[in-house]
Amino acid sequence: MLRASAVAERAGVPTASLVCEGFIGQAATTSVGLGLPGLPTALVPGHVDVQSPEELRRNVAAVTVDAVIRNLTEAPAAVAGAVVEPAPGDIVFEGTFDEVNRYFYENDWSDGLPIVPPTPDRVAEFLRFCDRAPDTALGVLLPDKRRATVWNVAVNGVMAGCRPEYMPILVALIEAMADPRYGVEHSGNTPGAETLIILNGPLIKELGFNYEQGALRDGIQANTSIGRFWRLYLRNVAGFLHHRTDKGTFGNTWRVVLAENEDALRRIGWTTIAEDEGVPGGNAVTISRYTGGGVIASVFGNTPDRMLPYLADAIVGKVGWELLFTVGMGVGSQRPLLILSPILAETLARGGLDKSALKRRLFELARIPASKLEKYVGEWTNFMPGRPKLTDLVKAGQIPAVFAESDDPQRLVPLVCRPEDLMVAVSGDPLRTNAYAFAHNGILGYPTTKPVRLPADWSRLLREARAR
Amino acid sequence: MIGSDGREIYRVVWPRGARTVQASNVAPRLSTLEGKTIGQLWDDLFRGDEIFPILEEELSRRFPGVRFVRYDTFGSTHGRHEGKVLAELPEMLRRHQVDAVISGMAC
Amino acid sequence: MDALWVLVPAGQRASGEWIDDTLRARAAEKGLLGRSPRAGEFPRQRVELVRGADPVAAVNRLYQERGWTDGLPIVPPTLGRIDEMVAAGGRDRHASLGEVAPLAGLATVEKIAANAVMAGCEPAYFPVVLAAVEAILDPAFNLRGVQTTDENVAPLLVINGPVAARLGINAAWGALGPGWPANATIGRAVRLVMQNLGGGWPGAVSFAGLGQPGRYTLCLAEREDTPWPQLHVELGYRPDQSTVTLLRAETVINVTGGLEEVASVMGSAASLFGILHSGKPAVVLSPLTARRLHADGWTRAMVREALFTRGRLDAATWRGSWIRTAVRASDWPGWVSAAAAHGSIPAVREPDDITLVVAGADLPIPQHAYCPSWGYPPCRVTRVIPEAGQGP
Repeated sequence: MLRASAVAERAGVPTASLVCEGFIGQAATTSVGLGLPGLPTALVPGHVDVQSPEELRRNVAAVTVDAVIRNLTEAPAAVAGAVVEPAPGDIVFEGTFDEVNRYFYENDWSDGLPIVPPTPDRVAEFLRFCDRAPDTALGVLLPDKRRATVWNVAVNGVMAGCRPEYMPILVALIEAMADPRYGVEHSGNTPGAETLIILNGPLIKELGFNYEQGALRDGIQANTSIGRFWRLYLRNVAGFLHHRTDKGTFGNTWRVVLAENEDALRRIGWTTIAEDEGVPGGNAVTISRYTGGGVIASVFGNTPDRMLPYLADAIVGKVGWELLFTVGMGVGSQRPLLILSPILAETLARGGLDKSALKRRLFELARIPASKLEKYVGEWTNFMPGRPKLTDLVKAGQIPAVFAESDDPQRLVPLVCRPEDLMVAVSGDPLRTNAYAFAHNGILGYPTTKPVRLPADWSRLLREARAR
Repeated sequence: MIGSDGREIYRVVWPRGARTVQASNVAPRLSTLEGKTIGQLWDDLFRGDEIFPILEEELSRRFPGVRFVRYDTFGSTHGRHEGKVLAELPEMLRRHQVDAVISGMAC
Repeated sequence: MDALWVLVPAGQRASGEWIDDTLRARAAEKGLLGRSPRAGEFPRQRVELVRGADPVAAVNRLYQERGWTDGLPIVPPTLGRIDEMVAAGGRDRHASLGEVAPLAGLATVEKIAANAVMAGCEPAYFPVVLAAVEAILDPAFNLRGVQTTDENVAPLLVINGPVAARLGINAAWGALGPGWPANATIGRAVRLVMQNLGGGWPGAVSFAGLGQPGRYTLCLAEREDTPWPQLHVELGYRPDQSTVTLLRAETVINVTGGLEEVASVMGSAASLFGILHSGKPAVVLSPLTARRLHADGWTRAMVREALFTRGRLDAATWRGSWIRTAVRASDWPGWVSAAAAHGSIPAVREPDDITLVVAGADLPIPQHAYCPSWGYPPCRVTRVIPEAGQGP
């Protein structure tokens, strides 16, 4: 919303931005990143969601109107000048391990766990695993509009406890973060969803990623430290900080990297996530933002017909308000993720299903009553103004016809617009009949895949790294 | 590096990235809202559909000659079409001769 | 070898710029780097680690050389002390109360806390400091003017309500003088905020020719034990509420005697600048005088009325004054010219513009004070001081 105000201001049109009380701090901080720190805001007292219509009217009439008039007729203080910040190679601090950690923590550069002090030597080790110059720009990240570079990727990689040989993955991850398709600027939003990184390619084995038992759990350096790196980078370069630009009500913490079991996939002839997302063959990272999920335990049955109703129902159980991203905000951008253990995938494959067929079956089975979907985006959350019925949206051509095959409020409708919107990965303990389903944050963290580029000298560098 | 008390000393670099924006000033303000055209921008959230009418009413009372271009003219500023809406916004503001904007809702 | 972790107390604008860069440039232009040879030389981060055999002395030396003190020693704003201070304020440490004029450093709660620690405040004083900072950031206070004028104005803080007794803010013996930690440090904290977050460096940004001692601190409470209602009750607050009222005091003029003597001082050249902007001066009345007047049937309103009527500046004095010739006739308020046409000009536009405060010792020879107002717009800004444990 403030982005829209910034566009208007730059077009020469003065603006008043309506801001709820709890958001004022974030608005001020976000405005700095938009290059308009003086962006005027008009306070809407309290939070609108818990006010009766009469209260809302009273508050707006008493406070907001005057603020709007001021915003539009009084000049805010002029801002100018340059900010002097450290250059990449500058030493910003010198001290013991404890002192470095305290300095970093107190300056909001750390996540509260000890970091590895980023000395130039350690950073240099990481840089050896990337052929591009350290000052190569990988993108500019909102909300702070700071430049992502090969250098600062390495610095945060050191801090997170990564190994230097993970550097190519780190670079690819930040290219993905900077891709507008992903929408990193939403990473501080109120629901506080968290990214999952999915890794494909030979690097899984070359770098010792875990892709079997405990695939989503900490304990393995590659999966764990890279997950941590992601959130440190969101903090230090994107600029998401508690009580300021980060407004997640609860939030989550970093998820470990999910590596797929590509042996299993090859055995049953299924595609990888990266291939599904259009990046075939080789090393790739896929980032996507999930609101939450859960284990689907004890999937019982030896045929798809016996297994799929439970799996479908479990996906339905995980997806609720996120249906907004199917029918409302970014129509068709909801992309739930189902992770199958290899034994479940093999059983389904033995039953004649490839991934497309599986998704088609799940599309048919994972359904909820139309009235329930309408509640999730209307009566319960007030997400969609005017509380449109699905039939209205279909009539207006905004969502596919499958959502209004009749007027019956109890008719079953899908969770996504097309079967291909579902994502299916294979990982986890190969012999346990558990699955995992994630609900998705839609366009506010859209699946984005990038190939991982290795340095020319990768084999030799990797050999040396392993020999240490 | 070993410090004077025998503990290792680390010399460390900055973990952030360079800012790419220089702060700029906002657009010039109006001297009054009387006779002006106010555009409404909305992200379809947080009861803007109730709040904008209240603002219209109150502002019209104070500035009888003010007129409004409603939010549905511009499209939602948050969502699938956000990029398109924002890209077209300067031209839309010009076309509708908008003098000032009220933009919501940051909640 | 010891070390102190301190929060950098200097102002940072919303854009991320540090105001000390501007301050160093201005100080250099004016040849004033002698006071602050290390202006702008500090880590541009949230915290700093100061090492040394005597880190408290090191912090004092560094801060003095960076221009961050008022010339007196400060208490190093260590992270632990700031945590305690912030906790006592009931607000989020990153919340900003606004930009501090003229250089627009953000008055975040933790930066205010750092300056309050430096000033020597107890954590319990912090809600008062926060309310006072809110008040000076009110546009009506015209902080930009106060910070940059060539006149010697200082903020005057008047505290009312239960907080005064609870914190020991003195209203009696020597209430405007040294010796009382709350009076001394609360006012000092506000000054350090003005200097370090707003950039009111003497000579470089603040062009006050002389300044005044009140720029160290000018803070007192009103006596609660007089028969009159308190100032804040007059202003519409409940007796059980605590408030801080900010006025712009050009100076503090001691007046010995009774109402006539106060009126006489008000009706003198001391009020010339005040009447130019229809200012709101303060009259600090001795408690003995207040009791006697009350016994004779006087209310506070009647006292103000009397001072308005009798505290008149001779029109000839006004016409012959430096300021009368320095300022265009059309820039003088209509009420001043109209009164002058009748021979004498009151010190204020109307009686309610006089802020009456009862304070001082119970002396048989009453000691009052008159604080003429400085600048525009007319200013008397009051803020509620929340109860301990409550937010704003």
